[in-house]
Amino acid sequence: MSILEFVDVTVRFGLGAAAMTAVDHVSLTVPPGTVVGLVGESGSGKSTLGRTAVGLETVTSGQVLLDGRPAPTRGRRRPIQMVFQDPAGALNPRMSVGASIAEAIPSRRGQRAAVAELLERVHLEPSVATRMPGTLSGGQRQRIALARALAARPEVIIADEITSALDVSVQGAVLNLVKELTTSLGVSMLFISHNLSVVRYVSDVVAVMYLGQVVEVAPAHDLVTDPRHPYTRRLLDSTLSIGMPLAPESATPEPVRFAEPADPHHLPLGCSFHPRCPVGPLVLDRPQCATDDPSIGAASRPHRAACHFAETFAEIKDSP
Amino acid sequence: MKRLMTSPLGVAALVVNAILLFLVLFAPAIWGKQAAANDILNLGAGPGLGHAFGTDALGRDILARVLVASQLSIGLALGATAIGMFIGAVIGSVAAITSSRLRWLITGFIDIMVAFPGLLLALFFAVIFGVGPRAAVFALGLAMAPSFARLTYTLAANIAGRDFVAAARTLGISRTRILFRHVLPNIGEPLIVNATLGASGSLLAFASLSFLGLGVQLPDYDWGKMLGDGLNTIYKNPLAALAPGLALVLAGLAFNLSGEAAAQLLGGRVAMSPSRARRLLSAAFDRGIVDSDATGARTAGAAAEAGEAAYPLGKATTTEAGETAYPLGKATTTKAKSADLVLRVEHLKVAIPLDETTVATPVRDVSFTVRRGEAVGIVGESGSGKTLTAMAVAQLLSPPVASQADVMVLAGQSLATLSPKALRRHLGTSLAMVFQDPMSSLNPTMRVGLQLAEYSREHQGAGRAQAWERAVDRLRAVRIPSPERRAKQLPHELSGGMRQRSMIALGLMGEPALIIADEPTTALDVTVQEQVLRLIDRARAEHGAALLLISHDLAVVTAMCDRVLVMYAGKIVESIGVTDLVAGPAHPYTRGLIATSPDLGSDRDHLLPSIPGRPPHPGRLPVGCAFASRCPFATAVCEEIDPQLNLSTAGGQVACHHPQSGSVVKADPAGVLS
Repeated sequence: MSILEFVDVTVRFGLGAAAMTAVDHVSLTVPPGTVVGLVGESGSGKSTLGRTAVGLETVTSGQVLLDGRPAPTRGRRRPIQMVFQDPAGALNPRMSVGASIAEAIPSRRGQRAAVAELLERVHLEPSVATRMPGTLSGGQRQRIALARALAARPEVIIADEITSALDVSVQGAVLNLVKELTTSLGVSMLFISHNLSVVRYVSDVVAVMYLGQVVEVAPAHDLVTDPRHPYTRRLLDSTLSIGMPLAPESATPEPVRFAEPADPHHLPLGCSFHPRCPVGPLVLDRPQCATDDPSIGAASRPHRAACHFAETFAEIKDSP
Repeated sequence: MKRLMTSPLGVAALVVNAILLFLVLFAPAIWGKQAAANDILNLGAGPGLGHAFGTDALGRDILARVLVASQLSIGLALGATAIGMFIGAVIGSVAAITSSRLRWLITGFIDIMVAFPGLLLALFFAVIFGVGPRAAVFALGLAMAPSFARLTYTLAANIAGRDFVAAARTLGISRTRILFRHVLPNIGEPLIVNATLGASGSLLAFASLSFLGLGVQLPDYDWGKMLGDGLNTIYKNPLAALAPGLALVLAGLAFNLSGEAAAQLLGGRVAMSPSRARRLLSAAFDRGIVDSDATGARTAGAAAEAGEAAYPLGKATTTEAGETAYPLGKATTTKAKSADLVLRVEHLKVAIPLDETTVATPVRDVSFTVRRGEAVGIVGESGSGKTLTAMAVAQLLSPPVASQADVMVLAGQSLATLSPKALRRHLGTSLAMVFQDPMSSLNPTMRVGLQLAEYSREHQGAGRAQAWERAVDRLRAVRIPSPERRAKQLPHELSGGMRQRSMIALGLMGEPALIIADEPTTALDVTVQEQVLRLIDRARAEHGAALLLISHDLAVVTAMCDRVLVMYAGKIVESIGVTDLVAGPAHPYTRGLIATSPDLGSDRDHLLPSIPGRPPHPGRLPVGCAFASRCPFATAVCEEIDPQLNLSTAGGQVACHHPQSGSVVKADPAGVLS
């Protein structure tokens, strides 16, 4: 049981005019044995943040800590493992399933038995070990990718959009497995996805990222029922479920509703969500949103929301 | 091997290679003496008795010498290629896995080396290493190395960017192991193909070196040297120069043929003649691998015999006119007038030839209608045939994919009867398409506004200024901010959401009777999805257009449509109104789709259901119901008889021997779909 902490992590890419901040002073904790969901749209920096934990991206400033010490990103023992989105690219097409998993097992002895046990853990027949990845379905490959991650005996698993490429009919099996593994093995997980319904289902705590910043963190239920950041609310409102008609057109002025997410190379001043905010400076008389950075003082607000009006958000959310 | 033997290219490559191999191995033993023997009576003679190609200045038989020289010529060429490939592969793969700083240095060095012509490099090294075959082999090998290094680096960098390599890195696997276990095995094939092709270049380059006197030295001889010697006597005996030249051409051709054959074999390219593909397809359509009405009637009868309870309205699906009634939305009891229909598709089949004998049928027998102003959704998993159905309607399938339909009427015109020109015009004016990836459906080198304006000029006869004005107006209609400026931009300068909105704007340039939207929001973020769906909805309302929305996401379809067609393994398995679908559909697959979709209200304490197994391959469909192997209600009859669409008690139509009823339990305490 280990605790993974991102402490004030910043990741910048590029130089000069092409420079952009993919992750902007993010602090986030994944407590032992819990699933922390990380939700956000493309370009929000959620994958980049996850990749820093396993050393696939280098932090520009800040620290990634495992149990208070810098997360190991060198050597053979890697207590943080990652599972990726694309089931087609997740496994080496030239290696049998068994060989792929065995490679991840640190000790050389008893590998065959260990592989069989790992396959059983992800509900696959041990005979799958002799198959090549090309003959397996996407859902099976993602389960094997999970088994390979487990083979390294991790304390934390970073799951980056692991069900996004799967058909909905098989997605459930992988999500159930995620829940089962975290409860039975005590592994913590950072579950990254753009799909709020999926994140809410598997996670204990949900963090919402927007343009490189975590704008709200709360227990899954609270975040969905009582969001404190207008962006979270926007995500919730846009999430469709079966049989739900397209939400009636809101009274928010069209330029705000149809505004594009900001260009990450040129972030707006103040709150980076303000050009799209239905309760922001373009709709209500709230000039500080366009000038003051709301991440300052976020730690003391409900849900650590990066919104100047997080305390009163629930009351005014329907007013405009 | 079988594939190699069946293609003409493969046979040619095998034969020529067998001859070359024989010569390389045995020619010196067989003709060696003859090639060395001096016929002092025939010095420098032309072709004649005993010397088919004549003799050289010392009276040696040229034909024998050409044959014997094949060993040295080909051997040295292969040696140089091997050296070049080895050095190139090492440098290229080191560059691919090393630290970014070293990579920068190595790739920069490779780029500079590649800039020099290969032969110039070879000459340069040959001068350094001195004359002689060994030096020449190294010189040539080194000269070939940079291009191999670049190729290896490009291929390896591509593999190194894949997730399984990232996973290996997070497992702490060493760089050399990653290189040998994960990268090299995956780039071996293209490297070998390229080396084979490179060998012919090296053969020629080596001959050039020998020709210039830098390669093979006396008393040895190869084709290049013979060519040089023969050139001195070209007027006396042209064959003395032509024969080694011919040998060079043939050997080079053999290498190239092998390269092509290897590429075909390893790349798995199916080289099927178009006529053969056509024959296969028409046979498939005729054979009725797709059910026709006749088999439908037979299977229904057989089902009754098999002791299946007859469906309440089972056989009443045919009207007095003898025409099959198609689902026209909930509560439609009267047959809609055909004038009411925007789209009528009957018995649509799509087939793709897989190899010489088998044909996959990803769309098997699809019939449906869309009424004026109606929104119909097609939902299904990947491979269900939903996109191919839409593409067939839009006449966008291209060989080897082929489609056939008994009836395909769009906006009152049967598409089969139109001339290609009239078809283009008809589709252009009555159909609008929105695709999943707007980047690939917009021309990347043309300003967005011009692409829209082109429509007005083509179909509405508008002038340049007028067309541009309309384009800007349409962009404004899809809420693109500052449309005047955006119209002048290229597609890549717009965001994904804006590109998709531009596609909708393009569709709205005319007055389409039908909008086909194929996964229009799948590549978009959820907040952008909302905007795009709303724009499609609004466009539909304003123009009275009908919508055919294809999606894997039931939530999107139910939000937008009046009626849903559920496709599975190339067939419509259920056709149902959205209200009835929400209340509880009849087909176990439709119910499974609902049950497995998590939403913001899913019970977090219960396991999510999932459907076990996977859909059948479209080339290997079972005899009975394609869903039977995944279905908890399947019985023997399901495996024997493919169910046909029949009226369903849930509303609409369903193709199932065991239709279900009642609302769908979303979270199942047992964790398995039952």
